[in-house]
Amino acid sequence: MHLSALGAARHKRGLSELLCALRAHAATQSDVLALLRHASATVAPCQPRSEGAPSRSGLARGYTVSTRSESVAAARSTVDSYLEVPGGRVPYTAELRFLGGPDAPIPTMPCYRTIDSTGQDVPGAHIPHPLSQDLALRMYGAMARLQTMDTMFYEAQRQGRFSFYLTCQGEEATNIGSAAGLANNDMVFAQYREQGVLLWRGYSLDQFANQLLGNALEPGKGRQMPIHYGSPEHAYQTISSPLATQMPHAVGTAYAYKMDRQPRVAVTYFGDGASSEGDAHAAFNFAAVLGAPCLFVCRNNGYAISTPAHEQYKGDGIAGRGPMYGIPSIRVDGGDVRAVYNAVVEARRRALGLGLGGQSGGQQQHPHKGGAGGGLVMEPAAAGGGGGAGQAAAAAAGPGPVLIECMSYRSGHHSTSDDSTRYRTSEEMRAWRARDPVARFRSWLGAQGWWDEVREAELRRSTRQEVLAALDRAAQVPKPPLSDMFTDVYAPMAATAAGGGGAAVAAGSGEGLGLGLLPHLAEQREATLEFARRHPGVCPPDVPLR
Amino acid sequence: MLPALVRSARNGLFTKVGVRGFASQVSEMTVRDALNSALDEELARDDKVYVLGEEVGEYQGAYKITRGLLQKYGPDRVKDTPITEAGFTGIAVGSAFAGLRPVCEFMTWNFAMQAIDQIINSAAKTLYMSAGQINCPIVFRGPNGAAAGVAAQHSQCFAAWYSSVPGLKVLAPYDAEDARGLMKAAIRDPDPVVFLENEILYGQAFPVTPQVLDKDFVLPIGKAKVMREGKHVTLVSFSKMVGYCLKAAEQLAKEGIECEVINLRSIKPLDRDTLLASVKKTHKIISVEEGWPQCGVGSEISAVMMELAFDELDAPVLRVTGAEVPMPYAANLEAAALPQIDDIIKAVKSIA
Repeated sequence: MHLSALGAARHKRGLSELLCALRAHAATQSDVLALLRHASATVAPCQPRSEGAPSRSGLARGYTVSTRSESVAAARSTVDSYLEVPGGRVPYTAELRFLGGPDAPIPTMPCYRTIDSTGQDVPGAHIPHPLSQDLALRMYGAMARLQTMDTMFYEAQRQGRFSFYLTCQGEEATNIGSAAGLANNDMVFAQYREQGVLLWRGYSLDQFANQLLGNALEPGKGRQMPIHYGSPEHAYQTISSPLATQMPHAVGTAYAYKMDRQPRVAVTYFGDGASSEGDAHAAFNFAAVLGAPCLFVCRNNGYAISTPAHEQYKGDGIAGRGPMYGIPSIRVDGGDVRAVYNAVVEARRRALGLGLGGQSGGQQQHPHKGGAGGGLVMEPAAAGGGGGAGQAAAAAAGPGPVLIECMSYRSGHHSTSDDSTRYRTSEEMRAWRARDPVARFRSWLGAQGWWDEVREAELRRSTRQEVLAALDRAAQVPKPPLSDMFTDVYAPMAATAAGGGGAAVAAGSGEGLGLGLLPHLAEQREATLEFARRHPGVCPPDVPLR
Repeated sequence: MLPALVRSARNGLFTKVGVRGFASQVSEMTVRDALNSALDEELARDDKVYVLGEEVGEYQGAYKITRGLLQKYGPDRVKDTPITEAGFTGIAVGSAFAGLRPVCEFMTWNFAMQAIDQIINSAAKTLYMSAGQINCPIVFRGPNGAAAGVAAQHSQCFAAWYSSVPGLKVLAPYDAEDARGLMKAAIRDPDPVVFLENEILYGQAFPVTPQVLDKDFVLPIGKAKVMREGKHVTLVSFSKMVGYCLKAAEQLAKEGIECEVINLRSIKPLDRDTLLASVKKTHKIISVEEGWPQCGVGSEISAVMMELAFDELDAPVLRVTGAEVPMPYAANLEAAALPQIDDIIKAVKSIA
């Protein structure tokens, strides 16, 4: 066998050409194997890129990066211990084994908690961000107000004061704990059960009531149905009904922050049901590929209207999916506000590329202590402290998404349009009500000596009064005028002038265009108002024309 | 900024414009190059503008519209995306909410149906739902309508669907001048714009003046262009069918029938004024489109003409449209399913 002759040529030829040549020379199988073994010892395999070097395609760490020259080299590599493909380096196995599924499930991701169901500290819990008394009381106050507000607005809807409401009962800790862990200017893309986040950020009871009644004071001009809040001033995107569409939005916004080098994250909340939507998959995958500083907070409350979680998915919930996308993920006890808070603070740091600084002491970002604007200064990755290589690697990986799955239970009905006793038992609901996160935290506060029954009663009483007063005030305010109905379909023309040499829209009056009223809309508005003036009986009495 | 560059609808291609004495020298440019140069200039002008879509970067664009842009502006401004229309559209919309100005490419508008919720429920409606607080300055673009031999799922025309949605602006360029001026207008516009191109037109070259080549050449949105004046019949159309109408008009002119050909350029807002002025002159109007007849663009034109110009009409408004079938593949069937120049001529003669 002319091994040496072929061997001399191997440097000039690809593997397939080599094999053709061998076949042509009627080489035996052992000849071929010998040649390959010889070749593999001398052909340099693709070298893994060093950890931490910036990757052009942004692949997750653990894969080799494939630049074009490396892909070509990979295609020619004859190394036998791993497979080099455009997606990365894959080790071989001789075992035929299926991983995952009902036969060989991957281990269930455990649930991080620091306070047990009775309100006691979990011994040995890792708490990088202990709660000061001030913070703890602010959190509890918000949770209690949220709970009372929800109950009263729900009742108000039952009384016919507005058309729709939904509560976040059972998820107060998820709402408040996560809100407290964010900066005030982190943009929130909520689903619809996160009114606690708005409450934390300072949205007033009057604002809630105005939105629910759709009156003229409502910043949304009565455009949206109840609970579809939005407030740019509180960095809270207007709620959009189709499920999970907010998830790619959050990734896009996070990407914008990254491109602008802003020290902000985008946060998206979504339920266990919404995570089944295609948009969820696209958002997860994309956020990882783009390295977008986006927090994914899943409220796994066990139900999607009547569909229980075990009919929604067959894998390990939502947290179990994250690592498969290349996203650092954690599962948290959503009823433990301190656990949620700690997870979100850490996740936020990680998303910004600041690394996991959990064990180090001083250099923590405390978003809730931030200034009024909430803008944070980017600090370098956590100095000192434990964790060493893992954390350094995490810091070097740059910004990227993080997934937090908060496990809780939807104590209330899906909404005022639902009667959940039709699909779940009262026993189940009663059992979970007993594990009410607000009560649990109250116990813990009591054990610290920071709260008592007197203050509790007073807080509840005053909140009830405030909510009633806000509803009454909101009911007195007239509805938005009919003339507002046609504005904001398009942006006002002043905005385009700012763009410079902008896209002028033909014709139309200056004043109309200043309101975004294109000619056909200005005509329709005029015709509508004219009709309403001529037929005042048609227009509801509390809707002014203007 | 440069108001003299904004053309009025009635100027012909070679009319000298105002104060600036541009040389009358004219060059040719394909629609592809027109779009490419417009994107290039807008990327250079505003660093918030970026392009994303499948194959837009390394591959230079599935139809080469984005050729050279990745090399020039880098992967932060020209992003290749994973295959998820719903995903990358949603991400583009989210980035627009945060102040970037994405140009979101669909390989064809057919695939945008997988993202239509993001286009309509998120991009189009958010300004209204947020009462003017959240803008979405995004351009969605890609080839629309029939190509050649790509059959049912690659040949649908979406002009009618998108033009019915309040909050969207819908543009359809025909020639290189349209492509440059409307693309720049779309990118600079604060509202979401649906930009319907045409694959067959990409390779076609059209004359362009130095004015059109100016980097601030912007056409007004909502203004149609009279491509050819005439007094007997008005032909109104958009995109590739404008070319067919012009050819039909040439042939009919030999027989003494003078057609006025209007290029809509903007499906939403629709330039009713130009249509009405034309109908007042010709008293007969025919709408020509590739898309399906029921609830097509021609239906809207018919309704508007009936409502606003009933007394001017000497004949019913005619619609020349594609056949009401999913596009067949076989070349002869495809030709039969689309309006041809002869169909337009026949329609004109039936009422002229």
